[in-house]
Amino acid sequence: QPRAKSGTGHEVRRLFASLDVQVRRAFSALAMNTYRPYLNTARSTLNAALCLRNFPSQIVERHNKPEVEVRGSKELLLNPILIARTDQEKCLIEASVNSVRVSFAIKQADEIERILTKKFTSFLMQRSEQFVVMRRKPTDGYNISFLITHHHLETMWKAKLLDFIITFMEDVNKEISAMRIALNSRARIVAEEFLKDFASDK
Amino acid sequence: PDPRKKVWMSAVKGLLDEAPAIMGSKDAAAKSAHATKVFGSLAKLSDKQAQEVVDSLEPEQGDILLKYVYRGLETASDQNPAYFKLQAKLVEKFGVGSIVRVLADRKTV
Repeated sequence: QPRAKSGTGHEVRRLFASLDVQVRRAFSALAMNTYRPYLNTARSTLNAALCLRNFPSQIVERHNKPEVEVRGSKELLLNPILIARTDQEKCLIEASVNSVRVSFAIKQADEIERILTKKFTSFLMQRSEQFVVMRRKPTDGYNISFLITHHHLETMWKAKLLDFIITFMEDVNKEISAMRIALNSRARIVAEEFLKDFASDK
Repeated sequence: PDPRKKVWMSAVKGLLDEAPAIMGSKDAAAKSAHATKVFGSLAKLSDKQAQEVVDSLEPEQGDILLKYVYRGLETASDQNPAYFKLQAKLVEKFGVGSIVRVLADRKTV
């Protein structure tokens, strides 16, 4: 008589759900300790860079473009600041008179994380209108970019905007780590359950 | 207090005093040579000594040191955690304006 397949439904889901949350909590607590100073530096630098004012285009009449994207006139651009935590994890802040471009490179340890990051960030960037300050394409060499213009600062509080960007980056990192852990634990549990059938049959 | 350790603190200050001449020039090689010296002497400072150095700096010297800190942060190295702390201390003492001057000053380190 064929043995009823056990554990492929609710049992497995319950198993990996509980594992997921505990591991996720432990992992994020660990990650925060080494990550905080980097985010604080990025935050204070961004706070200084976000001094923007309306500046209509000097080249085209009646046009108003973010100068950091146009990069036409040297006098309107500030020195870019690169804050690197590791080789892979860095933050580039390019400021200008009326706009700031912030780009983040997310740490990707292995192939799985690279795939997860690519899919997750492209998912977010496709919906960049919802995020208002997000850029549709990341800058070269980075995973995700934000473009903040004086319009945004006129309608939103600067402190809240800063909070948003920093917690956004924290959350993206947490999400990707959690996704990787969930993926690995799911794979392990599924493999275990699958192989259990073979073991008890014999 | 170890008298030898005071050497590195005054070495840092000496290098900061030499910096304006280097900043004015356009020679990239001279700039990176001087930067390497600054990073080397910053590496020798402990946390407490770094705090002392920051406390004793004039505003212009603080700006110059912050420029070197940001230059150091461009490349990933073992020093970077120390640079994060140093940046926080410098900003605490000299304010947001020092970062704005790093962004806006044409004379880069």
